[in-house]
Amino acid sequence: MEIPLIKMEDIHKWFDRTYALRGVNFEIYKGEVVGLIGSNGAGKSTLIKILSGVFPPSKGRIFYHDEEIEIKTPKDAIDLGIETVHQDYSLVGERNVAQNIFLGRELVRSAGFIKVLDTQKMEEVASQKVRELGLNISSPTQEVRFLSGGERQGIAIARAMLFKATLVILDEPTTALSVKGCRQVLDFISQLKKNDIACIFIDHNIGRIFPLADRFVVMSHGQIIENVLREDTSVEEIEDLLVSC
Amino acid sequence: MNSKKLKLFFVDNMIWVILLGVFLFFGIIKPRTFLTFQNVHFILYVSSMMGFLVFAETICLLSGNFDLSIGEIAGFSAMVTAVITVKSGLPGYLGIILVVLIGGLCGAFNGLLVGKIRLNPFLVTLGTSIMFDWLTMVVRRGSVLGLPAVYLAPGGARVFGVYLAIFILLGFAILLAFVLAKTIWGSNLYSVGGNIEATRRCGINTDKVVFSAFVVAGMLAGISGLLYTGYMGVATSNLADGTVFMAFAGAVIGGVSLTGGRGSILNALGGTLLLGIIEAGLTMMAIDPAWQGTFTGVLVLVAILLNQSRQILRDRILMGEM
Amino acid sequence: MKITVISVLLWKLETILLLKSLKLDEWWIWGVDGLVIGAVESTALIPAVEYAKEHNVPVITANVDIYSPDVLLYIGFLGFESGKILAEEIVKYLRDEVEPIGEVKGTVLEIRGTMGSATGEDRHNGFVSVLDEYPEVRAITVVGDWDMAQAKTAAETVLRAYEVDTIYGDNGPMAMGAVGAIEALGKNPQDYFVATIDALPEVLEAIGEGKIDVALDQPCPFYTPLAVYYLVEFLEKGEEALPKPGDIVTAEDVNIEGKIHQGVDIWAHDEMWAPAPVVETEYGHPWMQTRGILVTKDNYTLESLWANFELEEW
Repeated sequence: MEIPLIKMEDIHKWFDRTYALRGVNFEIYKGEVVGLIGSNGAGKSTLIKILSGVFPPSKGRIFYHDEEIEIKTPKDAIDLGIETVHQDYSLVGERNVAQNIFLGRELVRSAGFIKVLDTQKMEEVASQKVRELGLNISSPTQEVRFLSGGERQGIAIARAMLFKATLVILDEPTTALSVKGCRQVLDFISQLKKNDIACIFIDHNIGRIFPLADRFVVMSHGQIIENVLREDTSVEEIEDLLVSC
Repeated sequence: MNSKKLKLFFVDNMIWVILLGVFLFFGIIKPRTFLTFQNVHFILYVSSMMGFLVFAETICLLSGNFDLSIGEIAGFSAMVTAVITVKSGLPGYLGIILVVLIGGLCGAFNGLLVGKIRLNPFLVTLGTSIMFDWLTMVVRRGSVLGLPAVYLAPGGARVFGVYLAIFILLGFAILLAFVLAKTIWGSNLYSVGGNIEATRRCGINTDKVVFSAFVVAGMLAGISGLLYTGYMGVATSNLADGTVFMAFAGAVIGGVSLTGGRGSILNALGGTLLLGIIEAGLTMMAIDPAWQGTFTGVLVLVAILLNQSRQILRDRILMGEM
Repeated sequence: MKITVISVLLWKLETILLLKSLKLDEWWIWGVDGLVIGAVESTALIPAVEYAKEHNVPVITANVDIYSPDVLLYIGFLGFESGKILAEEIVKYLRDEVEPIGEVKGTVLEIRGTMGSATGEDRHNGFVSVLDEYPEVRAITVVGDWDMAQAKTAAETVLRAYEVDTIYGDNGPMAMGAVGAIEALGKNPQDYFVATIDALPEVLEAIGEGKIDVALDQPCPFYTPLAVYYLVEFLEKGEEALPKPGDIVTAEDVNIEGKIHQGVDIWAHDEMWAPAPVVETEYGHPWMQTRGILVTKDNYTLESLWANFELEEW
């Protein structure tokens, strides 16, 4: 039997006295695309924030390739190859496109006995990546706060793509996007799949994402209520599930 | 594109235009004393101490924090170092290292409380400013005389007729500008100040960045204390008291954002020098000190207003509206 | 009577405001029989004095007065008078030493303490009350906020723009700052007449070197002992024991056993504070006006000057 890339066991999360997750078991395999579905407040965002190290679980265990690990900080997650595109993109508005893409993983070169930022290289790579994604951004030195929601999304995705990831998490990646932008995101997800990179995404538009996912996980009130392969279900069935809970 | 770059260059460096304007204004009023090399030399010199406090505040502001305690750190580290140096006969150059070290330690205390324990920087540094202020009195009430010449040199000695403090001020301005623009630490500092949560999510240890910002601010305040001591030739127990708001003013006039993530050290230097010019100009006019203080406030406000419009202009240029 | 002294440092405005907000009730719980207050500012603590009165706790002010009729006695030096005395010294210098000799003509740089502080205002007002009578004297006023560095910068700025004959500092550090400014300009402080209030250790040294010409020293070490003495007198013998307006308090009137402090018996030098005339203040309480002493090159080594015996760790 194949070992899951990541396995979460009996995960609980509470904030003060509110329960966000109550005993969630979740796993994802290499190259698998999982659609995480549920109404607002179901616990989807909490689950992926635990995976990306925004906060630790209150209780529960996480395994990476069958080895128990702790994800205490975003850095721990990134070191495991978990790249996350958060709903609010997590970009620094005052910094430019290249600086945002390389935030936390800046390229340096030696200048005498000290290491200085290799700004030129970073801007080149950023330009190239932005072009590949078909984003309409004129210069890598443009400040991010002047960009549209779709463009920001693109930069967050470019950041996730640029570094060797084993799992990419997308939190509502298409919400702010135009039709064209949506298609780009969907293309990106299928590219990940081709490269054997696992992907979890949250999206409300089930019809749009249905063909992409290998498996759907439906959450409600902090618990997983359905875990079903695409071939065993249909758009209607999942929509019914969402309405009923 | 090129005209856009030119416009950007202009608005980004507007403080220097304001500076020149104010300088010429006083120059017209008092041409014989104001428009001289000696006067420029003098203004640069007396701005050097405040300059380091402005640098310290700028580093803190860039990281999205405040430091109300820098003036008191300057006073405290200068006093402790002076007492130790004189009592133990420490060589002057070790005293110079010590004053920076103590400043850094004070900053580390702030940094620990703000960065690690995540207390509000305003409240923390309000508390520590009172604490350092009075600790200085615990160490000694009065002046410390008889400091070694080497220790007094950075703030008081001249090289080829030019005060050493001016070279130190300009040298540090260039050094800090380089560090902010060209190193990972500098880049992280801006990012933390711009959006700390986003920066944290990119795997950066933001606690450490904030901590280090306070440490660096403390060290710069220590250097300010060193320069103040050299300037006076003695260490006094109220050294640099009450300077913190002018340090804020210098940074903000120089275009450093109070909300973090935006600003440049060279422009902050421009803000400092502008304050120095205003003070010298108004003092030379020999008007009632109460009016002088009032005019200083007005000029600071005007400079901040101009700077605010600069920010709006800059955004419009960047969005391609101009 | 056994006396326990609780010292509370009221130095900065913040401390005063803090104590005000503490409701002060706490103090009486400790069983305080009397208060000696050396305030910073003369009005902030008026409510505290009224509160003390309500609770029958006598208050004597020292060094800085509090403008309340409920104060029993104020012991202090006349800031106004000290500014006046030094202005007179400056007038004398301008008349006798500055061309044209015999006429009072020249430029005076006054470095003020913090504007609005009781001490600063008193000294400044006394100073200008004399100079105002001499229209030929130009007075340039800058604020040094009691701070040496600030005073040095302000003095140097003025010295760059004007020919100055004499400099007056509202306190010692600011006068020292002015001396530093003269030296920074490559000039000789001996060429300027520098006058200041308070003879700090460094001021005495500067007087010895001829950099400062005259300092007016207050009898600081005597204030609180005198205040405590009269507080005890009051508690033991009542109002009768206190000096009244019109009296002149002499050294013989005060019976304090000599005690060596820091190697000096200050009571051997009563002439530094006595005789002290007592007047009625406009705030409705008596004021014992202690003397001060003019320190010049002739007497700066006098051992009874506080700066000469408390040099270390003051």
